[in-house]
Amino acid sequence: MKHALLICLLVTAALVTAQVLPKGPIPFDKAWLIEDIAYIPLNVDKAGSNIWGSIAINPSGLIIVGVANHVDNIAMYTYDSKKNQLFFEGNIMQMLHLNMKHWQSKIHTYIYWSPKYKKFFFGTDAGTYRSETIVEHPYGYIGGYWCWFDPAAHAMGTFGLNGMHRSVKGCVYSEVSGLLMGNTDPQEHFITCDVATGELNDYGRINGKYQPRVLFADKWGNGYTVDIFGELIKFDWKKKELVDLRVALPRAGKAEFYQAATGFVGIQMMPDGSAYGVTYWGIAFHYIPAENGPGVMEDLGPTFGPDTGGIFSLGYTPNMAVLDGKMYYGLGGHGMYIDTVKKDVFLAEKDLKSKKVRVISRLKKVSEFTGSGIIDAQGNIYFGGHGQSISAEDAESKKATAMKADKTNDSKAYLIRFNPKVLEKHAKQYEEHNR
Amino acid sequence: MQNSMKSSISKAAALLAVGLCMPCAAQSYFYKDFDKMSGTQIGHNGKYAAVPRNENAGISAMALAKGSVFYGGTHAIAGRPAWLFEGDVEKKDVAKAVCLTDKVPNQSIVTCLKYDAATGTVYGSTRNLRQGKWLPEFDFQEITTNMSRDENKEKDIRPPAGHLFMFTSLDKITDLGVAVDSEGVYSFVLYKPGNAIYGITDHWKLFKFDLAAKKSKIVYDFLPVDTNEHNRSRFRFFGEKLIIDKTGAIWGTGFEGQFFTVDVKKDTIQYHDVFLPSIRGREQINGVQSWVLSADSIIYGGTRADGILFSFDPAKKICRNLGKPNYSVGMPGIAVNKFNLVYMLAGNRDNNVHIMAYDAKQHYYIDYGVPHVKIPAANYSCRTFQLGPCFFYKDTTLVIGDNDRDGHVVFITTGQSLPKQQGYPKGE
Repeated sequence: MKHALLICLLVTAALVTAQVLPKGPIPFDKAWLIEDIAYIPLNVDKAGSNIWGSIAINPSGLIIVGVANHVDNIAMYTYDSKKNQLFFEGNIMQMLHLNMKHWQSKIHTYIYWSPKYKKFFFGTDAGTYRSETIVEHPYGYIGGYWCWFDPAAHAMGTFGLNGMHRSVKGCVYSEVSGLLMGNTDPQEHFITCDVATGELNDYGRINGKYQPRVLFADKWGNGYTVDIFGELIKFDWKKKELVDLRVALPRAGKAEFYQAATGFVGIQMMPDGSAYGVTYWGIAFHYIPAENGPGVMEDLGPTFGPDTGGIFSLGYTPNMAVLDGKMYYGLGGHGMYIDTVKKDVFLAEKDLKSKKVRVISRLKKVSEFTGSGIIDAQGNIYFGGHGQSISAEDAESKKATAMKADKTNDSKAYLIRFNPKVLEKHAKQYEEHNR
Repeated sequence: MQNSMKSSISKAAALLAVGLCMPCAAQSYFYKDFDKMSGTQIGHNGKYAAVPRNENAGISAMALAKGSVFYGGTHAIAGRPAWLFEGDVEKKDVAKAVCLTDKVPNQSIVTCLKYDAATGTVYGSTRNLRQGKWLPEFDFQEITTNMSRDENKEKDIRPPAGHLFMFTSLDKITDLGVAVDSEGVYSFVLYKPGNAIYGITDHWKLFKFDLAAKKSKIVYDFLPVDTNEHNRSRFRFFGEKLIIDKTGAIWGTGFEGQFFTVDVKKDTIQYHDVFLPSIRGREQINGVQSWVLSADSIIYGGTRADGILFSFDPAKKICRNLGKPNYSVGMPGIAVNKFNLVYMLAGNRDNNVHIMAYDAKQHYYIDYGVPHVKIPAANYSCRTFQLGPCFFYKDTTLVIGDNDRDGHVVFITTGQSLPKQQGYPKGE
């Protein structure tokens, strides 16, 4: 009996130590505020320098962020927007019990909350050009996983691989169809993953040039992406086939074809079923899908400067949040900056009615700004932010050496929070950029 | 002997030197570009291809016809019709495309095309997959679960049976009817002396189709109903291709990769004591995926299970294992020119198909990697990771079908010799 108790105790102890418990809570620190913009540092663990789409919020105000290190791991954080507390949930390789032959170093997809399953859904990515686009990574890459994260249990799991050697570059989740709909890198194969059964289907290549990073869904459960010409493709989940809508993103014809093939980089799905987005060539748009037929595409003009009818290629905008008739977004990143000397991100506000743009702030600590539609109940907007990141394969390049030598370049990742109403008092000093 | 020894040592030394300076030449090592390469959409009309995307899940068959004219066939999502197209290698263009829908009904994959130069006729075959499954990833499941041999026969909902068809121009396609009931056709050969077609079905039956009587007959069933209690035979593959050698004999591979000839008089098969190369233990799923007859009567081919390149001399009945060119399995296409250069598409859909070349005299491989193709007709470029059938035109132009959704035709001008041993940076 004594022995049995001892064994019982030992087993319990082993189980407790084996489970990765979140680190935290880390309370909010006022030192994180610069001009009323909070830069919440995500450097609890060694992994982490870059956030792309991997940020989401659920109705109870819990924000999830995945921070990529572009080499071999992704750090997961949650931020409770009601209690203002940060948690480090763990590293994805450990949470998914992956070993190095399954290495994952980025979440490139947006993350989606499912009220039905009470889980976040997303896909993983290699995060390097050599492993995906030209399939020439020195260690090879097995492919991306379709994943879920349960914040209540702090547990993570997968629905399996996306396919051999293909990462999940973008995805959208629709509760109506119960499908995670995404695309692969390379080749933009359109993939669906049924979260109820785990059934995976490949609907073939759409775009042999580039892989759009962002998808959206309509209220009927269909998914949308773009083809090589920057035109919308709809996945009809009931018929299980892809439909050419022949609806071009605004001014796609004026963009270079590699830009057009990239499509839109920021999207926010609205409660009414429409979607606001920003294209890779700097044009904001509003799209109202139709159950049958092409739907309505509205051009909201360039993200910066006067509207001369052309495109705007200088402001990289993989981010946006629509709140109270205004669109907020950051301009800059991936070598595309308005201020090419300081290379910081301009925070801009677009009036959706007048289509006018004004700069409301400049972000001091980051040079790229990601995530779309992360707004809490208090009217705060959240984005992921990071300095110029250096991917593993570029580490020896001239550009990387220059970036490392630049002391102002902070390669840390931040969760950025601001309230547009509060920012108003600082907006005056940035008026010069509006002229 | 000593000379060759010396040269191989110096080659090894050169390779080592190249290996040391690899990081600076990494990009060109894997992705050596061809000097001249371009592609075209199928029947392009402005920026859109003529074939709707859901009906163009890739190019699955091609055949060179009269002069520089060639024909090709696509495969579509299950339930959608396949298309045929006509192109010109000299013009590097595919101008005409025709939907099979009302000509050969309910057919979604064109599996094989053969040109008969004597009559100027092209013959073709088709097969279908079950609804909702259309990529060859799912083929394995489709074949191995072979429901008709299952106890639950009522669950055997087969897709429509494959047809044979013929045409002299795309305006006039004649349906020759079903080859074998409830089964699709993988491939066939034209046997002119008997005015017949010999083919393999996707349920592993060898059939003969009499072109005069337009009647089909099963010659041999590779997978008879298995009495084995474990029913293991369901998980077997055989050769999906047949070939006619210089003497007119029809060759194929059967059980565990054993070569056979078709006895056209008795309408049966004759096994020979020669086998396909295989990684040990994988013989049961081995078979020829593609093969081609060279000008000097040697057959070059690739195996499905392992992607091994082999040469087969039908006269001496010797099959040589020439190595496994790529890390992945399968070899969906192979072509050989008169300079003894064998070009192969090595790999499968789950991995990525590399264009590779083998010098049959000097015995070495060159890996050209995944091509990045300019498509002048629609003014864009794309990478093609899934390559399908291929053939040589006038020994210097390699024509490849891109076997992925929205497939293109790729034209590559090849030289009379391969570049030096792999690893030399460009220009050396």
